[in-house]
Amino acid sequence: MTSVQPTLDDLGRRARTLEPTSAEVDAILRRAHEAKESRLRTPRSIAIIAALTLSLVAALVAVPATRTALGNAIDAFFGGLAPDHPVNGQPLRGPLVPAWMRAETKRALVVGGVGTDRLIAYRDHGAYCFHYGASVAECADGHEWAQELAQYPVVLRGPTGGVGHPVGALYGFTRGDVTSVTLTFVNRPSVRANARNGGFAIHTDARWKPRELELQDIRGQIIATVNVAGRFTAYR
Amino acid sequence: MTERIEVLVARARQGDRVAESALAQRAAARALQVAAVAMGDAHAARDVSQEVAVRVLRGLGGLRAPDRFDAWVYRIAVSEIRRAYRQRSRRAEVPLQETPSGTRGEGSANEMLFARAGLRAALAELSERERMALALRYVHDLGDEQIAKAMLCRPGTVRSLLSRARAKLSASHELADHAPRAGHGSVALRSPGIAKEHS
Repeated sequence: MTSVQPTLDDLGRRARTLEPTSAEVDAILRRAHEAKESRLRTPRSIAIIAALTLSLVAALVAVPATRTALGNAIDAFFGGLAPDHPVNGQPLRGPLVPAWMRAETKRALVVGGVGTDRLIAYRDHGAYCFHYGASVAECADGHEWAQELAQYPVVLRGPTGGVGHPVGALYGFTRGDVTSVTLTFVNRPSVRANARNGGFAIHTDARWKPRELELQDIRGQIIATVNVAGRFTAYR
Repeated sequence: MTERIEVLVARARQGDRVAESALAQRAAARALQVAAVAMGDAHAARDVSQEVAVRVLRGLGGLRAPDRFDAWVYRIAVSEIRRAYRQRSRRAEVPLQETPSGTRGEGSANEMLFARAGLRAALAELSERERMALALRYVHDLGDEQIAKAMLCRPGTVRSLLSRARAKLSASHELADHAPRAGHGSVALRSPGIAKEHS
């Protein structure tokens, strides 16, 4: 057998000499700004108005979740796995696909909210994006979201608020079989939130000492429990 | 780059083009270097690195922990490399070791990168994930936890991938059949030395 350590070390050294050219960096900046300008031109106001309208409807009527076939992007991702490329947890198919990732979901979707702050899911140039409130936003492609949710039934974010501000919200994106979440506290009653559209947001206060987030299915059975106490230690 | 990454991110968010350019350079370089090894092709890696850097700049507003900029870049890079693999397999492109060189001047880059005869072919014998883990470890010296976060797997899986990859390369006939040769330019012959397992 051949010793490969020096070969690999040498390969790494050689790879580190590769650099993008100035023309490539210029092209990157140009494309990044074109994308921003394109987003500004698109009728986002229409999407936001539609999302707010949806939120009013959702507040009054429980929308039953319909489970449909996967979108092409998710199928292609899992269909292209190499034999030694196991996916931890359950593959994201059928009822496990959250509402905002389904092929028929074309417009912005309100998946949760606290007070006047809404967690909104929308598509942007093929990416799946989320806005929460006025300032938090993130985008990733379907494969990343699918892989995360295949490993864990929830992708958690927050709490919002910032250091020194204990009041905020814990929010997250959930697998399709999660229909509600319950946040437990050390010194106050639990709070439950609807997660049928693939997300949720719960008002939190670090002084209440949030403890665990329970994820429930449509029958109320607990699918998973996440310890969230560590997310709030900065505020104590 | 002497400015702290958090400062650059803050400035870029405020529209500072110099800071944006620095971040684009940083993201593209990291992605290019990893992708070149993971994909076995410096030419294809340049396309991937541009996609990564564009995604990074577009998503800068959503980055909650600016001090984890590099970790975020690696994760996007892994995603884009995988996407490139799927596109290549759907287009039934030529296998890794037979990618034409010399287009857009990248033939010399591939020759420089894979100067060790048989190395490119030996890497082609690995799985996509094994090559990815190797690239992240040997190009930028990422630890098991960092690689796990980039590849969205567990550290134990990373250790298995690296161990299998090294074992396959050690046993590879492609490497065994070719004695190390001098690289281009001033690269000197190196003796194998004593192998050290990376912690």
